[in-house]
Amino acid sequence: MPADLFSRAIPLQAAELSAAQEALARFLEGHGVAPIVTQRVALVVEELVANLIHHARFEGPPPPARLTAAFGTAEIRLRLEDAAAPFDPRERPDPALPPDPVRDFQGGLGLPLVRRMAELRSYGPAPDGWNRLELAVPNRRELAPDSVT
Amino acid sequence: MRFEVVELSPHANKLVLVGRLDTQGVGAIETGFTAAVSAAGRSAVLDLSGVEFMSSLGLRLLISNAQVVTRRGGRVVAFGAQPIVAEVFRAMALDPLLPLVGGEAEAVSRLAG
Repeated sequence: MPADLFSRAIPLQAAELSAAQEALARFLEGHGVAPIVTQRVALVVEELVANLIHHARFEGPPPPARLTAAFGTAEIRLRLEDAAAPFDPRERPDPALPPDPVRDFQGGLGLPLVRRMAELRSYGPAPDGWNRLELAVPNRRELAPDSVT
Repeated sequence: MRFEVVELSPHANKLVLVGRLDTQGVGAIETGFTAAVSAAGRSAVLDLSGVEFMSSLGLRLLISNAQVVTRRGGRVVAFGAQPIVAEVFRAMALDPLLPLVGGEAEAVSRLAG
C-alpha cells in the first residue's frame, strides 16, 4: 500500500513545476485515483504555483514552495506553503462568466479555475511564518453541479 | 508542446496541437502559435485531441488569438477536446469566445455558419 502523504519542494521554475506534477500524478495513480481527478489536482497545483512564479513578490531569490498532498477516499487534501508577500486567494472575487477577454485575462483566470476544481479551506501563516494555503479536491469523477455552467 | 498548421482552404487553416498547454507548454509555442493564427489572416479550427492538459495560460493563448481573428472578420472553433480540457472550457463558460465542438466536420461547418 503506498503512503498516503506526498511531499515535495518545488523550485519556482516552469520545468520544476512540470516535474512536481508528474510525481504527484504517480502518487495519486498509485492510490487508484481516477485520471480526471488527478488532472484536476494537477490543474490546481499548476495554477497556484504558476501564480507564485509569475505574480508573487519575494524578498530576495524565491525559495522553493512546499507542497503536501494527502490521499483520502473522499477528497485529496492539498497544502501549499510559500515565502512570498501574503496573498489570500479567497479575497479575490471571481469574474463574471464568460470572462472579458481584455479585463479578466490580464488578471488571470487561474484562481477562478482553482475555485471550480477545489474548495479553498484556509489561508494563513505557517508556524515558520510562511504562507499556508489549504484546499481539497473532491475524489469523485463528477464536478459539483455549481462548478460548471 | 508542439503544433502544426494544415491549410484547409484559401480562407481557413487547421492547427493541430499536441502536448500539455501549461506554463511550460505555452512558453514553448506562444510566439509561433500567435504568428500562425493571428497573423495568418484566416479563420481556423483548433484540433485539441492531442492536448492532454490546459491551464489558464493555455486558455489565454487560445482566446487572445481567437479574439484577433474575430475582430478581423474571421472565426476560430476548437474541437476534439479530452475530458479535462472540455471541463475547463465548460467551467469558464468560454463558448461565446471560443466555441468547442465534438469533431472536425462540425468545427469546419461552424466557420461558415
